[in-house]
Amino acid sequence: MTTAGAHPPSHVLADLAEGVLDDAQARQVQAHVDQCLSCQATLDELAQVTVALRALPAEIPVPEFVAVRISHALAAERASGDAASAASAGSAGDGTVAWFRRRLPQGLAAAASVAVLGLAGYVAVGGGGGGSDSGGDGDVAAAEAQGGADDVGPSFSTPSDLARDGTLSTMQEPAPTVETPADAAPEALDPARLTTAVTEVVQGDAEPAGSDTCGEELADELGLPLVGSTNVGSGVLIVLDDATTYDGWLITTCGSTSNETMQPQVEVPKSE
Amino acid sequence: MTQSAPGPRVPDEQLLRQHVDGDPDAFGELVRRHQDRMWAVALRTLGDPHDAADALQDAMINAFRRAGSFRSESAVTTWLHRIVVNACLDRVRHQAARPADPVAFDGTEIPGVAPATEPSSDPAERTALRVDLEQALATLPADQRIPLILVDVEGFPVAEAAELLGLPVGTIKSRCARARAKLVPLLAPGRLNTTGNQATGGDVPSGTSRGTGGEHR
Repeated sequence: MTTAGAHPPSHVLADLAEGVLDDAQARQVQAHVDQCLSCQATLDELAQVTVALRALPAEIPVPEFVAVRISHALAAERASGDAASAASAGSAGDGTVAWFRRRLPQGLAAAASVAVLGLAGYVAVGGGGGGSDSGGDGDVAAAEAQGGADDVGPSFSTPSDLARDGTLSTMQEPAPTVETPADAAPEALDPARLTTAVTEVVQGDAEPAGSDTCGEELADELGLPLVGSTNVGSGVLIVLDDATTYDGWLITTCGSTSNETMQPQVEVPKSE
Repeated sequence: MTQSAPGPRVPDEQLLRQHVDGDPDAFGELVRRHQDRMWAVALRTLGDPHDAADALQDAMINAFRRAGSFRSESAVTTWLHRIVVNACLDRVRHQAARPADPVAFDGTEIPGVAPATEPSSDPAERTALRVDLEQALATLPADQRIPLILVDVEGFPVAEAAELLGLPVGTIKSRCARARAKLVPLLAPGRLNTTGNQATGGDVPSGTSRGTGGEHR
């Protein structure tokens, strides 16, 4: 194939097709393309990329674990809404939980309600060592209804600008909060206790739950460095090093992997 | 994927209104209806199933809460779609603030990407291409992938994609152009027949993309 000059790289051809080259460059590239079959073929393939992308299936079956997670989260959200309207003149809420909500990394506010609910579920079935929120929606709702109190919208400050079209502004809306039900919760498992436990593990002050490798399976599964572990209530608290937080996961035994909430029960910001 | 829904199908908009009015089941039905569609958006936009799951959950909670703000000028699907895209963008910004994860986009397997539609109705070649496309999309850098997903896959007008991403129209166009250029090798003549190429299909775009489309002579 005889052509004048070198072939423009394909991204320049793509720019030409998109009309984003400046006039001079566009003329130059077009002049080459006009007499280069190879580049014409590339332009054709570029157009086919768009055609092929548009032809991708509009739907991809959502994996079971995602569907389950979302329906749990929505059940928790619904329950917290019910509880909030039921507990009319709720007090200002548990300071610790409010603190968590304020300190959570962005995007985890919603997850936080699940995590806390997961904890409530754990507590509800915790005697049997049953794991996270296997209590199901009903138990979660029940636990929530007992403890629901209104958290007067914490000022949720985030590092980046979320306000693109207001979509994320709901994070500033009053977020219903769960207080651990007094009658169902061993004192050891309330959020403040868990925070303290995480901090103690981080500082090396806590009694390890087992050997140094306690929680290693969980750490491996999640791909996060293991900080340590300690016994909490009837379970084991595993502390993992996430980028900006220390995550506390309540699991049944040292060898358990992630619990069903797929969220840590506690996240303690590193800076604090 | 939408063959459920027994009896006459309640319109999306009515379901949303029922949810706002306190119907405890309406929103769940809405989610079931659209979750496969929204999962595709989240998974492709973020290129990672765990991030996509987080984003989709955030988005659904968000939609649940602000259903009252839905205005019927747009379809419910469009409204949901935007919320999902925004949740994904939020997650990308969040990731950008963190140290880069070295294994995130280097061809690690992506469960859930493989098309589950009946391959029999489809020539094998096209299926192979589709899988390769999905994988290649996931390996594009986020700043190119997201505009390309919005414009070429989801069919957003460039201006709307620009507005969603807060970038100038020209930037969107050139990032799409760059991304398309990286995908061209997937469509190069004969590529689907030469099985040798497919073995390394996961890392198609970056290394070999530049000249192959235009320089064989």
